[in-house]
Amino acid sequence: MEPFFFGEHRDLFGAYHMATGMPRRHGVLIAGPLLNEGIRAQFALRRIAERLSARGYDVLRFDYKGLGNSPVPSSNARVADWAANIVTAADELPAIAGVETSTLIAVRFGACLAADLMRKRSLKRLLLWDPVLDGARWIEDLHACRDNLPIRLRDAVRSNEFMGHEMHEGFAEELKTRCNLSVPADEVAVVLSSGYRDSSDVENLTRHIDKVQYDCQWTSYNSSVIYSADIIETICNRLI
Amino acid sequence: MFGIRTEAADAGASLGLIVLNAGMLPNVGPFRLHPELSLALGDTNVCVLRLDQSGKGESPMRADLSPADAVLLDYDEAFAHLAAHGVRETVVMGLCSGAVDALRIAAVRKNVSGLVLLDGYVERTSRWRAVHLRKRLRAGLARARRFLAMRPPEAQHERSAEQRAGEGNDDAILADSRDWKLLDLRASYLDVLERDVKILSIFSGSFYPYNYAGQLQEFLSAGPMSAGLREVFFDDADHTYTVVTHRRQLIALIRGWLKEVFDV
Repeated sequence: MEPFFFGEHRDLFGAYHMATGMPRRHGVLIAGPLLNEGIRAQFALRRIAERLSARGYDVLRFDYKGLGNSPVPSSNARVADWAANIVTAADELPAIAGVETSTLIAVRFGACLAADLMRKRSLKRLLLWDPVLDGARWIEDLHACRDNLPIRLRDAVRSNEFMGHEMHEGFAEELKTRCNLSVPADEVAVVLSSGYRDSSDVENLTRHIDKVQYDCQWTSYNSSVIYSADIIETICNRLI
Repeated sequence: MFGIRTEAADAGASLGLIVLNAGMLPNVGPFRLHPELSLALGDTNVCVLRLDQSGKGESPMRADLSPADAVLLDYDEAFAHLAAHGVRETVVMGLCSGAVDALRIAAVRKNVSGLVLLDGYVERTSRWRAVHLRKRLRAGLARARRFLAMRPPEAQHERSAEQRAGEGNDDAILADSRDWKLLDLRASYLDVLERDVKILSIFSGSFYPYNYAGQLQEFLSAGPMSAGLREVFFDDADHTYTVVTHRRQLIALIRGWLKEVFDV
């Protein structure tokens, strides 16, 4: 794995996994989840990247501006920045790997953010893992998750804090307006964990749906790592 | 080995802060505690290295080594990297299992000058049992009062699984036990204090084995040696510093201690 910072302001952290198996000359971009979900999913996304690179794919994972290993505070990031970050990363992948076609793996809100990319760049395949398809509903989940904190913590959380991250004041409104997933990719597949609640919406997107018995408990203040060998295997097998 | 180094304000800084993983979380730590700390130390002469220990975050596993040996080798490589950038001594920081790793490293590596331990190792004392009993009695009385007042269930603040997670019973972090012999840890504390290693030990309000200020001092019974130990009971905070305000207070505490003790 080759780590690097990229983007106009070098505020995006990238982890490039070069193809080590028989090269397919096909790239995979992983657009991960946001906030605490992204921290908890890092281990699983790394495993997915390693497996795919061993099978001949060039894989790029990245941290959005203000999240993960990005060198700026989370409060500096806007939802529009993150959507632009995916486009930047999608352009970075062929530049470093020399691939001509790419697949996008979008996880949770990464699916909403990927809409810009799908309008601007052609994608061969799109694979969604527990996609958030409605920003307003996710905000409700975030508020519910905060309401479930113990009282002494809940009272200390300010209105611009979401899953332990300080965001700018207009964050919730930005999220609400951001989700209109049209799917111009040639092929779409979805992997759902057992805790996923919006299955009926997903069925309108594609009939390629795999369900895995593992509850990721995404929207949570929990700090346990999200890891399921079944989910990783299902995602990797879907791509091949 | 993977880590992210944040340069000190002065390029010739001689003090490095090596931040270990909190359980299985990647180097950013819970809720990005570690990058926030790095940013807050940007104007000091501390060079920060947020490390992914082997098998965690972005670093591969060292399959040929025991976990305890891997921790030491990880540290040695991290120190060698910092030394190439002028660092001569380090402070090692860890949360929970990371705090145990940090203490063990300091016990055998003489280039460690300080430790920042968040919910580190401590044993229950007789006073801990008394405080625990008093808290349980209070909670029982409160439940009885609510029952007698016939308040509706939603007002009784039953603790959900989510709430219990927020209180710090974080399986992922606590389950990351290494093959250290825990019984030796008191001796490790005493060894490092005797070597004049400075310790900042902060305990959160939801760390079950700790429930009163001064418990670590009492457990160690270190006498004059404990002059180098600063113990803080951050009762409002939870184990993973979920709340931004608590994280800011924690970071200010660490920053202030580093400036005071190491003159950075």
